[in-house]
Amino acid sequence: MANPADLVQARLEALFRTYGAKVQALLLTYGLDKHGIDPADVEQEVRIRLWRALERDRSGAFHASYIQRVVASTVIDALRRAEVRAAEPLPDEDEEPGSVGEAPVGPDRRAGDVEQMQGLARCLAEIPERRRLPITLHLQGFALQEIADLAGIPSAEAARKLVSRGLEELKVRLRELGYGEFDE
Amino acid sequence: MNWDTVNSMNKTSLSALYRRLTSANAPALDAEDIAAAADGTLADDRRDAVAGAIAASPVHARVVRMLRELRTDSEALAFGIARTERDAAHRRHERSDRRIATGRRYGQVTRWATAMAACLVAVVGFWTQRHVQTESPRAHAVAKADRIFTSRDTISHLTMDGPRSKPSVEGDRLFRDDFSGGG
Repeated sequence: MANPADLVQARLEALFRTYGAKVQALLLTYGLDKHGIDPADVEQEVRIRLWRALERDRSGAFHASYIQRVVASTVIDALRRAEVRAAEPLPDEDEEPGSVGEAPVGPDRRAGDVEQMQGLARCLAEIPERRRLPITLHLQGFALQEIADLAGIPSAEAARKLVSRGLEELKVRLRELGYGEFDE
Repeated sequence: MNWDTVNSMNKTSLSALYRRLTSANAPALDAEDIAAAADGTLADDRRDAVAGAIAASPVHARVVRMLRELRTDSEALAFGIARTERDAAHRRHERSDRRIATGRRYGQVTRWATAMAACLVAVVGFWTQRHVQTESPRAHAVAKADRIFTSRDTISHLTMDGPRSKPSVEGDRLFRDDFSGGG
């Protein structure tokens, strides 16, 4: 008959393995591996940290928010280490996660981009803070509910209105300044 | 809508352009803030600063979005750990209960044995005391008998010396009187 302690250990290991696999998959899905971190290393580190925490306080409650913090700190630490390590040139701008799937950018396009980026920065700075935050969160890829949660907007619908008006204002301003037409 | 790849023939994607603009940004956000942002539990006084920093950094935005998606799995893991630990604790408790019950049984036996031993000691003690008590009066009696015998001797001695001689004298006197009266 197996030792009960071994059974518990085996069950916990199975849980951590499943969770670690999910962490690794999400790191790849969100392109965080392109920032100099190894998803397998991060996953292993997350599991080690969770094990240690569990060993430290066996009777303590293990909340989801604590697990989330462990993952967040592990990923942030890995990103910082990657930054420090990056003595060699960083990945090309075109390889940034934001441009995943886009066609390669030529020198002409790059020069135009720099100009447009400067124009975008200028126009965003002109937008009042209250409307700027939902727009920038939207441009970073957050969904409306996420924007509402992050920016403290009462509802997704209110966030949608703020984003939609803000984007229209931004596009008009960019057009007025001669930076051309923009899509979302 | 695919935010990353919107890029038509004449129109530039604002999202892609904004991410390129902010790609070099790496604001100093700590894990607590990022986890709180992902969980929607940012404190009001930190909200604008943290949300602004996340909005200005594609990599932090990705971490937050990843954590939001991971939330359900983190809850499942927390639940799984709690259940496993609870089951283990329950088993430990059962084992400890069994041990206590066994201990209790042994304790009862020990108590019985102690009680019996105490009774035995009491009985032996009582018997010994009784035995000593019944033996000492006999010894006393022997001594007394001796004393009585001695006193008898004394009495006998006294009788021989005093009172017994008197009646004989009186007897003799009565006998003498009878004779003198009748004569």
